[in-house]
Amino acid sequence: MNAAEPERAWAPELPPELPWYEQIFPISERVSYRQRLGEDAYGRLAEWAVVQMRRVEDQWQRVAVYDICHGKGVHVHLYDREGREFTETSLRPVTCYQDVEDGLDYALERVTRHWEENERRSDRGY
Amino acid sequence: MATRDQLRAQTVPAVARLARSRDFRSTFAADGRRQQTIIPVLPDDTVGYALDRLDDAGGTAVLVLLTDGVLRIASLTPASEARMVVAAEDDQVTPVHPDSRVDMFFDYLDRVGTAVVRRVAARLVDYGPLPSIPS
Repeated sequence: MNAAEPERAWAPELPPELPWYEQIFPISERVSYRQRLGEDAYGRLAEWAVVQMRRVEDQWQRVAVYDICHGKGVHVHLYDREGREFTETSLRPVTCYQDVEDGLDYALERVTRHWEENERRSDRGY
Repeated sequence: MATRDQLRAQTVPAVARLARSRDFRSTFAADGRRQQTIIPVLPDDTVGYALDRLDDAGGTAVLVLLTDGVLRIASLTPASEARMVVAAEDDQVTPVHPDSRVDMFFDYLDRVGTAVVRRVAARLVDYGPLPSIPS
């Protein structure tokens, strides 16, 4: 790549069709994960999100969202107890459809290993 | 030592990989809805725990037990009034104590196929090694 030429972010050939498919995996009465799948007209996985939720006083709130939107590769957004995003961290690049699939596996492995740490960071808000 | 929540969380990546396959989604599609609840359970979780998560999900869910690479999957749906009447007449409403283990509940489903528990119709859908999902 020419050093003067900015690197173009990878994007799916077709956008995901709406509505996305969502699967919810509760692991206790107060913690669950959501797997959201955005597939294109050919059934290819074009985008996804993995959302870590927790229930506080009967309300479900986001703790962390892993996704690949905006061509930024796999990244995670963390939210404080008021639902405000306080940080975004890049995790790994996505440059092809296989990376989309592999990135979803990676995000699921990561969120199920780090969900308690994510909750602690959400409580602290930084 | 891992907590029960941590142990359930450890099963989620494999279950989620399986659940995003088209076969799984079409098998458990409820009224064409594009949302499913899948409840991962441990062998010694109680039936009461599973039914509480089912209530949280609004009455329809897929129950998944993954142990040593073997999957057991049951669908849980609200039993219709007609189904309740027939089950009661045939003495087929299954008395399951909420403290009984979920693996024993799967053993029971393995024998009978379908059961009515409280107001829930439970049906064993699959039982076998965790399949590899082509990427």
